[in-house]
Amino acid sequence: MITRNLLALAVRSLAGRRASSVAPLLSLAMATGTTFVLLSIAWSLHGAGVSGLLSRLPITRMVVTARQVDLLFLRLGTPLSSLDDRSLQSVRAIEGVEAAWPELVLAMPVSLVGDLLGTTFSTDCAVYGVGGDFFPAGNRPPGFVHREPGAAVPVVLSSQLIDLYNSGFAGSQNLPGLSRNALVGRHFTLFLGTSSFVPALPRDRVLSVRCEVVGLSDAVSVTGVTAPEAYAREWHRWFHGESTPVQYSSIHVEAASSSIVDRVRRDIESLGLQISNPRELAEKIALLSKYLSAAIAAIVVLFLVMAGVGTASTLGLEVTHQAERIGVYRALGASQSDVRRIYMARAAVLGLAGATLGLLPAIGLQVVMGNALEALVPIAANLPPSWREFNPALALISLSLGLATCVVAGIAPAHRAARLDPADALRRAGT
Amino acid sequence: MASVTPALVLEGVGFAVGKNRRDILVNACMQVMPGEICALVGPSGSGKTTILNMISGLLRPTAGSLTVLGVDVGRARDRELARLRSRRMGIVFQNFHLLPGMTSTENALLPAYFGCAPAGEYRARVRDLLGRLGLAPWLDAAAENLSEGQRQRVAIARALLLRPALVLADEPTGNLDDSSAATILSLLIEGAREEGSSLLLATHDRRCLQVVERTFVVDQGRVVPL
Ligand SMILES: Nc1ncnc2c1ncn2[C@@H]1O[C@H](COP(=O)(O)OP(=O)(O)O)[C@@H](O)[C@H]1O
Ligand SMILES: [Mg+2]
Repeated sequence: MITRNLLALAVRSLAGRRASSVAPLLSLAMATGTTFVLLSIAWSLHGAGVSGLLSRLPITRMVVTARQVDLLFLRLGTPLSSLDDRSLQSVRAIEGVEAAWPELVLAMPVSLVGDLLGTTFSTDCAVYGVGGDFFPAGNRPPGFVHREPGAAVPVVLSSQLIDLYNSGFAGSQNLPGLSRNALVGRHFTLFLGTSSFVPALPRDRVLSVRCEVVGLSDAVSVTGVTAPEAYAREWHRWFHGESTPVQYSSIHVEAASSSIVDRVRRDIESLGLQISNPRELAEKIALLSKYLSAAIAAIVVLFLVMAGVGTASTLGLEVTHQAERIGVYRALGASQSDVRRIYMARAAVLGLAGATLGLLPAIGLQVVMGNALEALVPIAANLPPSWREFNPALALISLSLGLATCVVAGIAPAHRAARLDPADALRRAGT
Repeated sequence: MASVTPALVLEGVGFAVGKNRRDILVNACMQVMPGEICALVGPSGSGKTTILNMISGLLRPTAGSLTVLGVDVGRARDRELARLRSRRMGIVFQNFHLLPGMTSTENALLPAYFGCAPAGEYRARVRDLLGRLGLAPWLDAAAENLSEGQRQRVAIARALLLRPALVLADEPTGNLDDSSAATILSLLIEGAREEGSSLLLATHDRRCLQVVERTFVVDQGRVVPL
């Protein structure tokens, strides 16, 4: 039997059984569409680079803070515990701690006045001080050093500021987005000793400091500006005098090796301090996305199996109903393998039709869903664009999975059709 | 003198069914020569259809040897028997077995799907055949809307489509009245003669006996020449 005749006969038998084809067509369409949407989501999770991020984060680097209380989503610092030089000494004394870099925080009101895109604005902010080696190797912003008196103070801002600005403020204020480098080289003025909360201090209690942004970093706090430690200590002495000890908002700790990280963590926690590891967070996210991918895979498999079982039973029923037709085919010259091929082709035609039927609305749905989500949730604009881009490879994979499901579902019925006793089928149909 | 190979040879053919091997046929012997018009007669249930099914290779004899157009049906592989049916045999079934949901033309075209050329190439021959059988007005009629006699003609066209060397017809005059039966018989015989095919009619209808050249009687599981 030549392929052309085979396909013609398979298509003809599909057309002849329109009503009974509806259910498997729909379930296949559903399964294929769902597969495509879920694969797109899984793919964008993958594209978000969680695993790449994870591998870049150093496991030996930890951030130590004072014990904080988690209240749902809020993290409250308890006033009784703060980090000072004693905490720094104890952390440094722990065996296996190779280095510990404090992040000094100024305990004073500070306000910032600057201009951005032609608008002068002012805001309260915190001021931090860190040493140059606070930044992970290679990420130290150039120019982050103590300069001669009168020169602008070099400061570093959190790179998250750009993201926050772009995703929220710029959109709501109709302002253009900023690139990472847009802030570097800009100047602004810090007024130490005054803020909107404490406006009425005498003039000599306010120090104005001209600053220049020399870089952005993921390591520094998002709530303020970070200057070289020496400046921060100067400002602290100027405001509080010699006797008041400085306070640290966090201490960044580098463990000597990854094998002792766990013990170092326990030792630090036994000091009554809290520890977080950026890698831990990334691991949690990675694990979550792994679970999500597994769940997606499970749902996809479930849908395909359901569609497959439905298709198999429909095809099986069809073989039972078409016993006479099969007997006639055999008597007119179809071999067993011809009959098997006819029913396999029948399954493939059904699968291709169902999968295509499901894929088209799924692709539409992906675009509509993407646009709707971006309209409703502004932060969605910051997601990797892959999550709503049409990916032809994923469409092809979904199509193949739908088709393969149908073909697999067709194996048993096609086998049964081929093994059917034609003489018996004709005799039964005659009576 | 060159000896002519028979179209059909049964030598001691037996057929038994079921767990306790109930014999339906025992030691059946017969021979049909190329171009011969023969009848297989016997009461209903005597085993005529079973013999035709064995000849077409849909059933295998459980004893003896059966050679059809040079092919040993007992030994041949399924594919070989399928090719034999497709290229060299035409079958008119007892109940026509036209497929519902298909037109006369599509039904008569069916055997072409199992041949080695695109089925569409036989469309003209199908229309010609159906026209010669008096079905020109019903070429595109659905099989289920045809009368008994018309269905039988479609079945004959289907059997003759690929110019078979052997035509098998099971109860071709079935429930037809005398004149229809006579027409159908002459159409079958003419068709066979035109192609030089052998024709074997299985029937319990005495009306058939007048038009055939040779008759075999099936009785009590045996086949004897009349
Ligand atoms: N597959 C089978 N299983 C059991 N009995 C069968 C089978 N095929 C035929 N028979 C029996 O064999 C006998 C002959 O049947 P059949 O060849 O159809 O006779 P005819 O065509 O002469 O009427 C009948 O009694 C029938 O019931
Ligand atoms: Mg019969």
